Amino acid sequence: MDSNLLGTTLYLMKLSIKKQFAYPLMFISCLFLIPMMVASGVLLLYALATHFSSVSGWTFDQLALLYGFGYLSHGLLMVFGAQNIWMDQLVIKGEFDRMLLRPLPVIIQYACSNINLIGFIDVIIGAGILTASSWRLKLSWNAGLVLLLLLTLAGATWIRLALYLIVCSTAFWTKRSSSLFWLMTDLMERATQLPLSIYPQRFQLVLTVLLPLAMISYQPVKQLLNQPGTWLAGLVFLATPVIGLIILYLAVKFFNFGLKQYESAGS
Amino acid sequence: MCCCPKAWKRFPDPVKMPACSTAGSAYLHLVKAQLLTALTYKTDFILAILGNVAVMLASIYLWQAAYRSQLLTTGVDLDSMITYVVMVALMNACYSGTIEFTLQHRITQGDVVIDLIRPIHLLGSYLAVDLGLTVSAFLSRVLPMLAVALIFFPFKPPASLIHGGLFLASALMGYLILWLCAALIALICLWHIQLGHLGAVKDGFILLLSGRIVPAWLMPDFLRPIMDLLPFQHIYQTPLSFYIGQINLAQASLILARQALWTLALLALVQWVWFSGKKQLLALGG
Amino acid sequence: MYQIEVMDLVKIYPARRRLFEQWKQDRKLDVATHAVDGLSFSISAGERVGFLGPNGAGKSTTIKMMAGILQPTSGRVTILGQSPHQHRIEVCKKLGVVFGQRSQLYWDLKLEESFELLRRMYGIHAADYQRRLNRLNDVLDFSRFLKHPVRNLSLGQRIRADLAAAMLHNPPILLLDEPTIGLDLDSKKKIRNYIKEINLQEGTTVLLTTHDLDDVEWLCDRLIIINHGKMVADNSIHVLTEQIAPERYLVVEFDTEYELSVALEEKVHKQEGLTCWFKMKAREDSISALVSELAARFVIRDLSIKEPDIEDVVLALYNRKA
Repeated sequence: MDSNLLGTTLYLMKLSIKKQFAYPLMFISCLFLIPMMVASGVLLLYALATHFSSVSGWTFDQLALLYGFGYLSHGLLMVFGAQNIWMDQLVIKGEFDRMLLRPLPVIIQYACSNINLIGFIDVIIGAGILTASSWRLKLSWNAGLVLLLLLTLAGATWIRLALYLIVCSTAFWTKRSSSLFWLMTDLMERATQLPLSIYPQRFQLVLTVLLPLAMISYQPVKQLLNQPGTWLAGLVFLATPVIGLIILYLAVKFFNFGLKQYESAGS
Repeated sequence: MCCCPKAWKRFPDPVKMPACSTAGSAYLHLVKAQLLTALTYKTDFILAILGNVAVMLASIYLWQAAYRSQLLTTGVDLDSMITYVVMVALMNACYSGTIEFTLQHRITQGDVVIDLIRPIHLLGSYLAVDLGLTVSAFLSRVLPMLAVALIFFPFKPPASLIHGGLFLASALMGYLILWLCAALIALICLWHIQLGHLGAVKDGFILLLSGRIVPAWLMPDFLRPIMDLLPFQHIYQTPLSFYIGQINLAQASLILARQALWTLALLALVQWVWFSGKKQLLALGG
Repeated sequence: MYQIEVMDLVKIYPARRRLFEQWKQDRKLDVATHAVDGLSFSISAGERVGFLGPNGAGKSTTIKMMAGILQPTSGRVTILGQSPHQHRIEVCKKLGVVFGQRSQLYWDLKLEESFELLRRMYGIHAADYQRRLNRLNDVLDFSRFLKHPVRNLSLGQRIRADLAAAMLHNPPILLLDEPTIGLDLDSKKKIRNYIKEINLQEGTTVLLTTHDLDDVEWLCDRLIIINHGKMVADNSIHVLTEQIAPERYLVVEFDTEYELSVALEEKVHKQEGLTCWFKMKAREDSISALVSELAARFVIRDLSIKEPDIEDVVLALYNRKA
């Protein structure tokens, strides 16, 4: 049975990717749009760099490294988590009925319903920025560090996915999740594209403990820049995927809880 | 079908057109309708304000952190920068427009033919709707944001009374320029309905070149001429330059005239596109 | 052992909560709605049951609870001994569900991709799958639009496709919620034929909701009728017909206007021009006696017998108190 589940999941993903090719115009316009949005972020960093010596102790190249690393997990979020935007539409139109009729867990059907290849544009751009700034900073990489950071990247994506899933699952009760979605987007951008040290202590605390946004890019990159070889660094790198898995587990539980509510309220 | 979430943020619910007959009451009705719709979704409202405040705070903290380090080149002092950033956030909170989505939506649904028969000027009615949204956003979002800015941060008033007046005039024209650009994009779908994401591309340009993220005096040199060539800088940069007193009164009239010229040019362009598109639409039978 | 058991089923939709919704609300919706109010029935294997009731009676709600999409407020549903809500995945493998008003197929995919996806989801072996697909195609005739995206199909094509999709995994139970709504006669015939065939050959249990009484006449031997969420009638069509409208009519067309005797006059149900409808109670009166009596006195031009109309039966039941 498990191999059937895996096979079906993969097939679902393949189909959702195929769907995208029906809309080539969208891909092309995003090919223009996304670099421009990134450009405005990078432009800000550049403006800061040419007129101020550092921002909260972070130089331009360090800021760019942070930006790039954050953008990588943002891109992966776009690939795997885009369907969260319309969660409230799915609830209102009763689309979950279809998923409830199939012999597959609803969360899997939901997760595979919209694999968004366009997110890979973000990933490539993020990787480019990361590579360029890491070269300028003359960071030394070894296989172990790369593997560790890939794991951290995965964890960062899990944290993002989980937070969005929790926030959008409120649509099961309220049937309106878009405002929360955009609020989460704003918070996430501000917490992952810039060093958290610019914010007052109490905000930093909230963003590390309550909503672990600090673990997405700020803390790992801070360790990367300071002393990537130490035990502390390793701990921080591993903390992100661990937190990611825990919060993803909680998010799925919450989603299923919301689904029960959907089942009792009807559509 | 989505791909870029940011592109979709600009689209609120489509506007329902009322069945009124006299022009004046129709416009007023539209403005009122927008106010009421906005007020009924209490939670959405609070969340949107929270989002606006969070974004504003993030900008303020960023520049505060930047100014703490040694300046390499002076542009403007910290308090003026904070004022600039707060004003950008306030203006951004009000400048919500539905014209693009509404027009696209109604064209693909075929409803626009009904609108063409009405006695009131269609674009004017859409402007009234968006003005209503802006007024309601001003009343509901700007005031709390302004309160936060005034209480916790060194937010400055306009450089002088005259500068304040110039700012208002310039901001009004800037709003029209933004609206006309949106209307232009929307009208292009009278001919090519599938170019839905052109609006998002336009937004990308505005983000880069209007002074919203990076003010003109901090822009790299190679981008300055491009900024001057396009009308987008008149949306945020020009009015705010008046506000913080960067423009002296001697240059003021020249700059205002340039902004006015852009506004009129865009107005003419939009009218032309509208009328030729309308002819085509009526010829095709909707 | 019953295949489907419904016991004291209740579904209450609570009054709208204000917290996340609009300020100004429709006052009417502030009352809780009892969509289903204490329903009980059992269905054995191989039965073909018509599940009827006026709009808003609670039929779709009941079917949704049987399919596991909706959770009952109280009471129980068991499908083959299991609760569809608690054992959703196991139960749904044994159900084939068609909602006429909303497709269960995947809108953006080509039909054959939808089928392939379902094959994988239900774990159907390749050989069985091909055989069943061919069989379904023989009856439902969808090979012409296999390569079309589902959103491009006409209503008739889509419902045939939905039915095929529901049958692909050979479920022992079929739940059909208005499967013939909006269809042309040809499609309706195909679908009715298929359902009857599958029931007779494979012993598939069928529960059918419909507003088309021809469907009922063609397919169902038992009727469950509900109204306001409560049971109104549950019996075979024969018995119900006997109970409600046990009369048949002898339709006689005379060659000219005649004066009827008082005794005969009593039997007349209605008269149109030269045609008379004579009421006959099923067991009591004899047709031959009446015909002889009429033929002896009058000249008869045409003669026919009209059986009780299922429409009258059902309408009468709709209006009956629960």
